[in-house]
Amino acid sequence: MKAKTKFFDRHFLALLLVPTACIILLGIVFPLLYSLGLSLTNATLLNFLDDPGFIGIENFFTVIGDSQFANAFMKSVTFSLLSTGLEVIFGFMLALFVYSSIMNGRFFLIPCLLAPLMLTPAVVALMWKVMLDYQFGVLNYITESLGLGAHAWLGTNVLAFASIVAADVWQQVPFVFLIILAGLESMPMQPFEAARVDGANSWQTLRYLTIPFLRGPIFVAFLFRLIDSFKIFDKVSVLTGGGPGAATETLNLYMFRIGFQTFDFGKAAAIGQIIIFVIMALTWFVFRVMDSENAVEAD
Amino acid sequence: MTIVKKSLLCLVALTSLSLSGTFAQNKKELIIMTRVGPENDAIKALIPEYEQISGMKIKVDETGKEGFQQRQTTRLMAGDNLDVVMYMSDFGPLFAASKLLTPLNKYTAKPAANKSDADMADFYPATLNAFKYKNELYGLPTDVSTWLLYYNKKMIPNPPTTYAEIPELAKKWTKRYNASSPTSFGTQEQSKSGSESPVNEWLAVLWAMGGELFDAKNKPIFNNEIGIKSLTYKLDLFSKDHVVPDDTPAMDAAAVIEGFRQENVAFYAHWNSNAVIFADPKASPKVAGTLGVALIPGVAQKDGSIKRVPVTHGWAVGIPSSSKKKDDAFKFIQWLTGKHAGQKYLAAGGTPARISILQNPDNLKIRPELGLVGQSLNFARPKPAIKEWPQISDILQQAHASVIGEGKPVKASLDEAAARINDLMKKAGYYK
Repeated sequence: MKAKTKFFDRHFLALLLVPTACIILLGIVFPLLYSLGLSLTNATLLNFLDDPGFIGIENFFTVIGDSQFANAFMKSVTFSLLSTGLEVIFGFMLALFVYSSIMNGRFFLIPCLLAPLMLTPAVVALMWKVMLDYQFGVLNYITESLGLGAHAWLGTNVLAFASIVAADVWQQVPFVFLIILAGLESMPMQPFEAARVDGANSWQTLRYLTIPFLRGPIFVAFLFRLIDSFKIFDKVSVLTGGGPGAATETLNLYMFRIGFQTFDFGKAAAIGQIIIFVIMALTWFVFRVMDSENAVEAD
Repeated sequence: MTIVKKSLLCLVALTSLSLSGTFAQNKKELIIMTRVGPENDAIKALIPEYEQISGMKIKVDETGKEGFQQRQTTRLMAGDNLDVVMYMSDFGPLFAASKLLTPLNKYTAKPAANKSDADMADFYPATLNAFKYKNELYGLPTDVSTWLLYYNKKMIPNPPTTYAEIPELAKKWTKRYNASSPTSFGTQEQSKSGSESPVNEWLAVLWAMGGELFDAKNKPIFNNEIGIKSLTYKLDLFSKDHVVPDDTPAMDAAAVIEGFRQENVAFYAHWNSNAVIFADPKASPKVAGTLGVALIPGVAQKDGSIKRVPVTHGWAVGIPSSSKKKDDAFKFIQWLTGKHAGQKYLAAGGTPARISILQNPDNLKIRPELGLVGQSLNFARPKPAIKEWPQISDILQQAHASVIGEGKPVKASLDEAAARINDLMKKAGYYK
């Protein structure tokens, strides 16, 4: 009994980590490795329950040589850069506005601004789908009232892409806003006071003090949003299904179509591995830039 | 051991016990996976009667149309806790070849307690055959489906009979050409990416014009002159004549049903199951009283006849290979698709694939469109019953959507689709 108690006491913290470790192993590590293994086979629905054959990296060559993959890749990159850029800009502006608002207004405003973030992406997409409906949507009601006519917001290439960007920006700006507001709240006041005494105007203060101080939070927000937006699926699936044609078919949607509509699991797994590789590369690149910025600052 | 550690251990033990309860199977219960829609509503209406007769509990696991196929396939592959699945004939050969469904020949060969339920000759042959694979039956048909033309009689006293009539007729009911039209557009078509109905619409035009998907050697030929002409016809309704909604590239089945119910269009073609929705004054108050139903248009022939070739498919109930209650499951599906239940299924909104039921004159009073369904089935065509059909359908959907949605040239899109399908068929061993 004493030996048992000693064992538990010595290893109690480690034992507490066992459930988390199990979840990480089962929920993250195992699926990753399984997916990697699947990408090296010619697994389809027809042979999945038997033994799919090992074909090495043939799936990767097939995917990279497919024009639909190239299209989906470009759509993902374009969407990611466009939506992340807009979210950072609007989130920054919103954070500045709220930061400089009177104290009472801020405490009322912040919970309201965070509301879109509380919704699931699919619900946001459904909401926007209703608003953008050609016949019954409120947006066309407004444009027709203003004499601008009705538009097929989800039925033309450019507008459909812009609509998905708009829906994502609407939902994710509060996330960026929150991170940058936290950065603003933690800025030291002395440099700003000194700048005010020296006669610096608002623009000079913003450009030479505020933005440099917020470089870290902006980078963090940018990285998070870049990675998250690259993986977008639900909004595209609900709003356009990848259409018109393949005008909004992002990588994840392309992977879903290959895996669950054509049932080519090996090829879909290969696409998944490519997405993981791209995100890892993006993350590495952004951290490298951040590190070099920090090194310059330290010097 | 401290109190905290004891509490943690108790928590783990309790969690394990509750989970074991979750996975315990109820031997007196069958779980059926269905898709939301009129067929599902009809099945649910029949369940109380079967539960009373058999003493079994039937639990319905219903899924919406969006994502149904993906969810169903995943659950079948995972050997999930399902005893009966409702599935579409398009996926029959693939599911059978993938060993996801139980072959039923050994069950149908046994003498049945109720001969009426076991009358296989009463099923529409084409529908029953759609659920066979290599001479083995895998599903009992619940519904037969074909396309009909729905029109608003207060605008259109006589429905169009040929595709050639449609552009001019549609212009009369399109606000762009007729500012006093009560409808915004004359007609509508589906073109949303990832949706299989656009292909069904296109096939009807292709086949009526004399085109084919494949030649005798299974080589794709839909990119020939007739194929280009048929898809160009559909494209012109959108980009040249402007008689279909401007957001056609984003329109799916739900959108077109809503478009007709809300009198946004004067006429359009769709599955016969929608007749139940449109004829219901509560569901469709604007059109129920003036609903007209007709055969879909076709192509006028030299002898004066009209060649119509609507698509047909069926729904069936099958038994997953992983089911542990196959005998009970078969008894249920045999009853569900039998004549007695079929009659009630019809009254509840389904369209049973039984000749005796669809041709019963008394049933025409309950469901007037059944006469047209029976007529349509005389010349309707099923899609190719091959295990590669879902992949082929996906390629055709992409081609269709890129033409209507992205404005890609018809010939280039069809040529690309033909090349992809050619590769697919070659890999599948249809030719070298």
